[in-house]
Amino acid sequence: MRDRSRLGYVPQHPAAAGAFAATVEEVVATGLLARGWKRRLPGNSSLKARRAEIDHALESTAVADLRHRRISELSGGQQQRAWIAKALVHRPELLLLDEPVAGVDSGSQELFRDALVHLQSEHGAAVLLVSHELGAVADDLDRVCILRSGRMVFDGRPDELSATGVHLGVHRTDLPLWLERDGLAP
Amino acid sequence: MNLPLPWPFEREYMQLALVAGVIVGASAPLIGTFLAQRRMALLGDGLGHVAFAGVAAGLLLGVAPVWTAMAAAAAAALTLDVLRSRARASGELALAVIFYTGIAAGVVITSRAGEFDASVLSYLFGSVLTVAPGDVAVVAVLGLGVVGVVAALSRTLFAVVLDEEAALVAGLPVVAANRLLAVLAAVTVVAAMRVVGLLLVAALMALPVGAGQVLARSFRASLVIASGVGVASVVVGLALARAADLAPGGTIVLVAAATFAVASMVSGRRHPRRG
Repeated sequence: MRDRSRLGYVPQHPAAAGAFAATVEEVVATGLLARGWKRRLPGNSSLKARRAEIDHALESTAVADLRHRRISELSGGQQQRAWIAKALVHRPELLLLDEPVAGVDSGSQELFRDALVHLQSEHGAAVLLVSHELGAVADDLDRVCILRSGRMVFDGRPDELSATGVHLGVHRTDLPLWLERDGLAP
Repeated sequence: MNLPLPWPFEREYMQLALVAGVIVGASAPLIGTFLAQRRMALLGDGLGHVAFAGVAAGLLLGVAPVWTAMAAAAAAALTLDVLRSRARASGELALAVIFYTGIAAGVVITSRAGEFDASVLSYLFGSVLTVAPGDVAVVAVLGLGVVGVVAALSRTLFAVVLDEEAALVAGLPVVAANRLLAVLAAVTVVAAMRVVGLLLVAALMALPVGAGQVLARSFRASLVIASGVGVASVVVGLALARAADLAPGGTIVLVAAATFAVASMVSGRRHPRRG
């Protein structure tokens, strides 16, 4: 994808997890530096419009109340939502998530599932994520691709998984799962 | 230059030291903040080692040491950034090889040139009380250049050090930003070498940053606090050095270290650890 502003990306282990002094709002605002964003949405580049975009991203990921908190002081789930807000703030058409539920507690996984559904309905962005934690996210996805040792062993709807004989969790160390929403080609 | 300033800055040599010191005290922590996020807070220390070789080469060749030190430090900083981006696993070893080769080369060159005397020591330990107006002009150009570049590009530099991978996906000029940070670190080292000396230069790029990190809640505030602590350390350090006849470079750094310790205690009381 040549226009980088159409992409939103959430790394698996964002660097800000250390003792970095940066607020949630400052981190989210860096998403507006994505190349091509002003050209794609020229009406959104004024200071007032940028603030509105940041507010919208913070609210839609339920971190608006945390905007002035240091991101390093937040829980794993809260940090993850802040990074999703950063990835969404420039209104991407495709959101890439790398192991979005790795290392977060079950409550935060539940919040993430809710956020995923909400993001799809409100932002309309396609979501492509890779995860070893299929059970935490599969029910909310349109399409699942499973790679084992570099070979595709499943490509279909999540509810078709049980009939395939592909056992999940057995090969945790060598079983990256490509999960996809909204019918994009892999 | 002789401004109507009160004691201890009423003399011209103290005023020149104050101007050079304040510029370095303000600019060094700015670069240090970005380096700290990269977990490279000690880069300035290593670049000081390499800059020593540059100083020695300048003395040997009869060229102003500030420029040969700049060339050596910038070359080392850029080399390290290339190694960091291409071979992360051997990054620490690369640091050690380049830095200790630099200081060893400096020792050999100065002994060869017969220049291992007070002029060399002034670069190693600083000699801010003997800076001439021309030295202050060089420090001002370098230091204010660093402040100007950081002010103009702080959002991009912040995004890159925040998460390099995400910055790459967003199409930000990550490689150029990293190279720029490397060169700015080298410029800062050279600007600061007359104030605190090459052996202590990293202190002004790290200790005020530590104070900023523990006291500030936002990145912008951490930059302001770090620069403020840097400037305050220079002013108080120079005053103490004059009052008690102490080495100014070391005194400035000790003030910065004490400020960091107090800031950590204040922060600890405000945010006690749970459990």
